[in-house]
Amino acid sequence: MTASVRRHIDCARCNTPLPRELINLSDFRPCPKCATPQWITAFPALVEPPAAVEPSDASVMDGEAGCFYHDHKKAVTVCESCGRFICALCRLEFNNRQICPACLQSDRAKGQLDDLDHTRPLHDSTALLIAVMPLVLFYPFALATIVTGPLAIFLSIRHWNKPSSVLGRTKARFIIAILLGSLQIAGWIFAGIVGFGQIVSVFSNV
Amino acid sequence: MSKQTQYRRIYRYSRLGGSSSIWESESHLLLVRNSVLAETYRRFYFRDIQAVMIQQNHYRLFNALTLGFLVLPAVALLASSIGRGWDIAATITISISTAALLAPFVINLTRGPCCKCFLQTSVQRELLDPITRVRDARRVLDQIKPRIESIQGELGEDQLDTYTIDIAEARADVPKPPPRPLRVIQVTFHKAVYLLMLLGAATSLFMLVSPGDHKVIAVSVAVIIVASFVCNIGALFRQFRSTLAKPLRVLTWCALAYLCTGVFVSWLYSIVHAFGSLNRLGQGLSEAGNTHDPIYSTILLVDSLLSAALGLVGLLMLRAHGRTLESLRPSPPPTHHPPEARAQDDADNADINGAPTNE
Repeated sequence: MTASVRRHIDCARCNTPLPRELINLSDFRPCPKCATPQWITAFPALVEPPAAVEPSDASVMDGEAGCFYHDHKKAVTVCESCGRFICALCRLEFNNRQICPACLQSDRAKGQLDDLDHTRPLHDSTALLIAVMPLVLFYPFALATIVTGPLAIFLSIRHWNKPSSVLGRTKARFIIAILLGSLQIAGWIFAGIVGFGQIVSVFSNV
Repeated sequence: MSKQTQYRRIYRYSRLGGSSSIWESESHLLLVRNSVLAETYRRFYFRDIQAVMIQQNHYRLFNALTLGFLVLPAVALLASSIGRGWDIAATITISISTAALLAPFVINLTRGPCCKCFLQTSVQRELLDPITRVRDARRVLDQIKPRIESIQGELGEDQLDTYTIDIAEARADVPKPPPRPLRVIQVTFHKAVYLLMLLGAATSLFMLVSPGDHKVIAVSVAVIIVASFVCNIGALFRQFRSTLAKPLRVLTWCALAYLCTGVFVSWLYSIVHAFGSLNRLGQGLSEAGNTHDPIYSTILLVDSLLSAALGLVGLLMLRAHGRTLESLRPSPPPTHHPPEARAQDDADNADINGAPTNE
């Protein structure tokens, strides 16, 4: 798989490569083709040549350490996580650390690499939404609290320790969801007791 | 060992059903799209950012027109209520409604021109969707530019001069995609649109010459309007990337614009007329749609004339388009038989019919 590397700026509307005269000006200038006003601020990464790729096929010689994953290749560094010798191909630079692919994979599976996640379910918001929505929508949706109350508590407890947003969140939503869920259950218990009392009184009168 | 990256919020934009925000850490920008139940993240490392592009657009004007469409009747209603001795509760309700509509209209105008903001790296160009205003884009750029330059350095003029070489290469490298083939379409929807236009003109004319409360006609008008919208949208879908002549395509768009204008004018007239009649309740609302009203008569007259003109022109153009297609259609290959073959065929036919042969 080859990814095309951009070394120029295209108009985001008509995809015309934009001339140098439009770059790093202090105000908007029209695109030469579609006349859309553009204001482009460029940085050195645009014109810098691509970094030289280190050859990874250096064979191991007598007395030299070989890569743990590729016996015939020369080791160039040590994985900072597991301490194995790794070659240039296996060396991954991540968060200012040099690690091997196996460590990267295991760390990711453990949920220890926030910077690799591209999506996260927000269980706390889900639980809170389930607890709040039937109350906001009033009758007849308020009857759904017989299900949503316990469900909100269940979701909150089940996902209490799971990682939430990478931006760092408190457990406040979980706590509110549990409180609301408990109130809903308490309300139903109260309604049940009152209803049962009325039924008993009706039968006793009869 | 997990180390939580510390982020600082740069910009946030909330909307119904979620929000988008931009955060910065020591090494990268984080674009967060929140849909209440989940968050998605895009990271842009400062060392990789090639350019920030701000592209101005006309969304502010579009928003102003759309909101104005709603605000205008409300303001007209409020203005007409002044000094007419309406109930105080009604006046307060109308004032609150007008203010609720007017607020986004004014906010849209005061927030400045709209834009789209893009961030380019060597492998992607990402739309920073939270940023929709030029003023906000400048503010965000002012915040992230020093961070990027502290890592990459400043882009000098001599470095920028090498960019011109790249652009020439880019122009040479990018092959032009072949044009997509056009489709030959059935013009059923178009025909229906213009026939409905003629029908609409006829009903308007009938309402003009025969004033009164015609419930059947009123229902027919509603059905015609809905059917016209449906057919028009169907026609617009059909004509996309088709061989249909450009004037005909433009006319279909004009028909849709005319329908929208007609609905808007009717809506405006109904509201103003109805609320203008509130001070003489009991006789007012039933009079809405009275053709003795000169404004209503004028609307009907103009509608019938324009609908008839659009319908006729459309049908004539469709007819011309059909003829053009017929002339372009390849004629079927001729069933020509050489003389020898024809003689052999005749002989075979004679055998089958039992005619005497020379043998």
